[in-house]
Amino acid sequence: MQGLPKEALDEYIGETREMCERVSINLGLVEKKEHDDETLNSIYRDMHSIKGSSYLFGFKHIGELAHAMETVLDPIRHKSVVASSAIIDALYGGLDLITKMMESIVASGEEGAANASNLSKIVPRIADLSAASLGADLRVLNDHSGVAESHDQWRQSVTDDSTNSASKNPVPDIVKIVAAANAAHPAAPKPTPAATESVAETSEKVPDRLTAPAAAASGSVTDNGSGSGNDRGGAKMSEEAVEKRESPAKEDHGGDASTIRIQVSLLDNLMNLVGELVLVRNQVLQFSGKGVGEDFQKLSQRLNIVTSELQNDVMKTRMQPVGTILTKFHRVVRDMSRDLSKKIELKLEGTETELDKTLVEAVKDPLTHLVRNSVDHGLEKPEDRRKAGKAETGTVLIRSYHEGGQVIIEISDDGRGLSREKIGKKAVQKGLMTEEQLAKMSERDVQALIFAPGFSTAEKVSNISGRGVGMDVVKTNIERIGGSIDLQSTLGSGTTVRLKIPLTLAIIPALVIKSGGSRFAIPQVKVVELVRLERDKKGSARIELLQGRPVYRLRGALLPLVDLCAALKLAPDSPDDLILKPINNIIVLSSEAGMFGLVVDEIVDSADIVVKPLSQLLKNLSAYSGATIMGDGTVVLILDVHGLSMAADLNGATSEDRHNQRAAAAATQSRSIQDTAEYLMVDLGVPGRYAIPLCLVNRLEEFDKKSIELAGEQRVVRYRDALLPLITVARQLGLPGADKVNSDGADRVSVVVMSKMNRLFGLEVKNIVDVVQIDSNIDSDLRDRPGILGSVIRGKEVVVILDAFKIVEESVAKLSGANSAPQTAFKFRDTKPLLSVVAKSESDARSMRGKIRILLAEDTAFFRRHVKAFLESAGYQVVAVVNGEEALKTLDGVGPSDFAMVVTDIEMPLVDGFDLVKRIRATANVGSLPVIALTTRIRKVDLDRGAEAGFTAYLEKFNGDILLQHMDRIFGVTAA
Amino acid sequence: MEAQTSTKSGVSKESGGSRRIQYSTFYVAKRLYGIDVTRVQEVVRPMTTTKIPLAEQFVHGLINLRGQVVTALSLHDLFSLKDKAPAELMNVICKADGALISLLVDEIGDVVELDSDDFEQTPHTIPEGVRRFMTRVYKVGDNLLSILDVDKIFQALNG
Repeated sequence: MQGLPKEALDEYIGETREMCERVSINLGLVEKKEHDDETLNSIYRDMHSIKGSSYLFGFKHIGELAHAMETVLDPIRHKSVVASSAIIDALYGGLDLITKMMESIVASGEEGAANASNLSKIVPRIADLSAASLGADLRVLNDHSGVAESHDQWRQSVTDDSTNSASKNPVPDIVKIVAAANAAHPAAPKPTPAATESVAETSEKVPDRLTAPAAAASGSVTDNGSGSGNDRGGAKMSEEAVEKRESPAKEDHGGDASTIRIQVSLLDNLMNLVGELVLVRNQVLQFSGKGVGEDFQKLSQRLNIVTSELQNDVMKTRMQPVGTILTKFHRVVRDMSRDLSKKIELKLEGTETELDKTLVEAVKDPLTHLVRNSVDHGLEKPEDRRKAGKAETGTVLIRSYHEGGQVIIEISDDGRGLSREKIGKKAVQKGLMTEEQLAKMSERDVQALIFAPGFSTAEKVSNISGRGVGMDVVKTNIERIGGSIDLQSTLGSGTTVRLKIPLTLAIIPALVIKSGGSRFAIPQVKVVELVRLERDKKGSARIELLQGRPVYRLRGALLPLVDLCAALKLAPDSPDDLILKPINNIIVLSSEAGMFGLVVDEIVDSADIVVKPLSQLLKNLSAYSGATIMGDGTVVLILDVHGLSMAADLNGATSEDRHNQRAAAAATQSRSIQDTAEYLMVDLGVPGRYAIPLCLVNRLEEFDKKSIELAGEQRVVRYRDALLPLITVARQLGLPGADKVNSDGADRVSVVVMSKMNRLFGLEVKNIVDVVQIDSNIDSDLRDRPGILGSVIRGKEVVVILDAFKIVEESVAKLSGANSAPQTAFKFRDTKPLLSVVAKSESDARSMRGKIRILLAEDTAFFRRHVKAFLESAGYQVVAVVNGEEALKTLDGVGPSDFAMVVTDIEMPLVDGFDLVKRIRATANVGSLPVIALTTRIRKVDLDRGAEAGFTAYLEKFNGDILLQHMDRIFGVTAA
Repeated sequence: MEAQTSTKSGVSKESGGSRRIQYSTFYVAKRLYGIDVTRVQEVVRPMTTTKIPLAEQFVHGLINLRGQVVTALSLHDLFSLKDKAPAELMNVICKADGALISLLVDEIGDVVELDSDDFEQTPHTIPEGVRRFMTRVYKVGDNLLSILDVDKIFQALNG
């Protein structure tokens, strides 16, 4: 069997049987003269296919027989010969012998020696018959006596026994012959004696021959010489022959009863009916709840169970593993590789992935085309592959799997890849593009051109993939079923085509859980394990809080927890309550970001669910991947594990809450701003995760260590016609292990360039890792030294945010002495102090500040959040807005006491800081408000402009202490 | 030129230029609204709704329409109407962009047939919250009928 997989063989057997059936039905039509051209073509095609696949699987005898039959059929198909009954009988005979051999293959994996020897007699005769019929019929066709005469002639010259009885019968003859053969069993009556006799006759003559109708018919046809001798041959049947006939018949019932062919429309109908049944069931259940008696309740419960199972199973009937079509490609690929003299291996992965039947059918043709494309155009001939330094045998890999609520089917080859040049040339040739357009296109866009209508890159149209179907048709077909197609190709190393097929009807196993009174489904593939925590008296085996977030020690490793109720805002986030709950159900999930535990109220059940996509309206809700309809007809949302972990990160609620509490009344009034700030993750060469707010970073550079020079004690490099002072961050912060940083062999150093006070500074780090988005606020309670702003939680880890300005400042101060530190604050005008109080202590000052509300305008999310949090931690109430225009809107119509100060950035979209302050000064109700500018640009011109515009003070951004000092001074809060 | 044009338009009027359009009407907070009847697939009595946590307020939830999951939108919330919605709302199932959405309404009205030329423009004083979904207004007896555009609702929510 040439190492072909079992599925392929099963597929072959099933297919061949199906084709034999079809051929015999069609032959019946031909015999009754009820056929049309398509019937003849169909018979011919089927025989051709049987021939091809049988040879492919190494079943030479079947192939040989099919070939002979095909040869007989060809002139009939071309209407040069009329199908005489003799020919039809011979074909029936051949068919039945094929069926016999198939049975033998099922039983023993071989065609069977008996069959083979039988075959060696039949084949030449069929061949003779075809030659004879051709001659005869051509002759007869000339005079117009036509069909009947040739028919008669043949009946006389060839046979006048079993075929007679068969052909005269109006019943489809294949049935008749089978009946005849069955009748040959001694125990059975003999409805068609002639046939039976001839069967017996043949089996006597050739003892080892199978007594199938095939043998009977063909035998009688070919044994024409014996003539009437066949007529009365006696009705004896060898026991052996009977047994042989019977055993495969049994197998038919045993082995094949497991599958049955049904019209899909019937399944659809069933599905609808079950839907209706479910509704009735629900009503019955409701009714049974109204105290109508125990018996009725029992019955309705049984109805409930049976209906649910029925619904479940009917749903499954429409699902087919994608493998049913994928395994067919073994043959396609083998055929083609032989024809093209290429060495190709087809690998299949994920054949068990299930798709709705209609989708499986819909992707079949596009997939076939793609596979043919890969084999024909993608993969090179062995010699070319050798030249390119690849293995001679090329690989076509078809993978299918579930992903993000879709089924992905990937067809990849390790062939020559797509050539931009060739595609471009062709596109220009075909007038799809101009040269200029082409030049501007990205590699990907050029590759996408092969999906353009009427595009084919093969230099000569081969009969293999050049079938008048282009990739555009593939694309259209995939898009018609709501899928998408995507192509990636690297010249020289291969092409991958990804089909995304909607999972609309795909069934996935899922875990059904309950939280906050609602049920949700979680795809089973994401579930690692379930943990049930019961609080014992000592309180061990419990949930702990780490930085305010719940975690659980799962076999010694820390597992971050997400409370589903909190993540979906079904309940307020209260990690403390989790700890106190007597029972906690944790579902350990694996997501791209790592493992985490989802705390749910209740684990209900596991179920196979049909994924239904959510409306476009809900696409922004990343927490769900779809919805499903449960057995009782209710809709349940399917949780998207990845989206959920993201949503959980988003909350970062604890640190925010703490700030809010401290900000007292402010919490209710200040608008909460939830947006993302970007951070540059850096490796300082010491343990821990560190990041710099991206908005402080000018450039990222790498310098050769040799180019670093010393200016006094300061390490510098020449950079943009100036000297760039380098500050080793870890050393400057005095972090443990800082000495070893950059002492390794690396000859290049990574430097984050930033600007402060119109100068560039370089922060030397070990590695620049990545740019990340973090949604949570900086928790500044955890800063243990100057130069650190605080920390944020990102996924599972804590990231320390560096105060890059402070680091530079400290470094400069250390070098040049504190006195000569550049001035970072400028006061332009005096205002009447609001309070004029003396604070006895810091907490006293804080409570005084609590009465003051400040409007903060800042477009950069990071600064907005940071400054707001900083001021709130100092006690102020802060309302933050994203630009000057928003600030003006907020100030519009407010009373003089609503805001005590405006703190604003200079560079903002729409209305910038200068405009803002000018317009505030021109507005009656807020004209006299103190307005402080926070900026990174403190040049003379900026200062002049700021003073002129009407700022109260001009401060360097990021220097919280100076900001607080100024504010206290303006408000008249002085320390005792 | 002028004569020609007027004739043309006159002819087209005579030959049925003023099309009759059927509208499916319903009430939300005692106000009468209408949707082109060809866009309405069916009207369904109040159904069990699955709430969608984190979704916008006007997304009332999901309903099971004979095996299809349909998103139900609360017109009360969508139009920011102050009146409290009744506990049970009718579902007007509309076809939009190849999908189905259910508009939750208080009460179903008649199907009315109106002349396509007989409408008035939406007054500018109508709050933008509703006006952006409205295409025109008809005077139907004592009542005023606001015609809603399903596509506009769908697009606005998508965008």
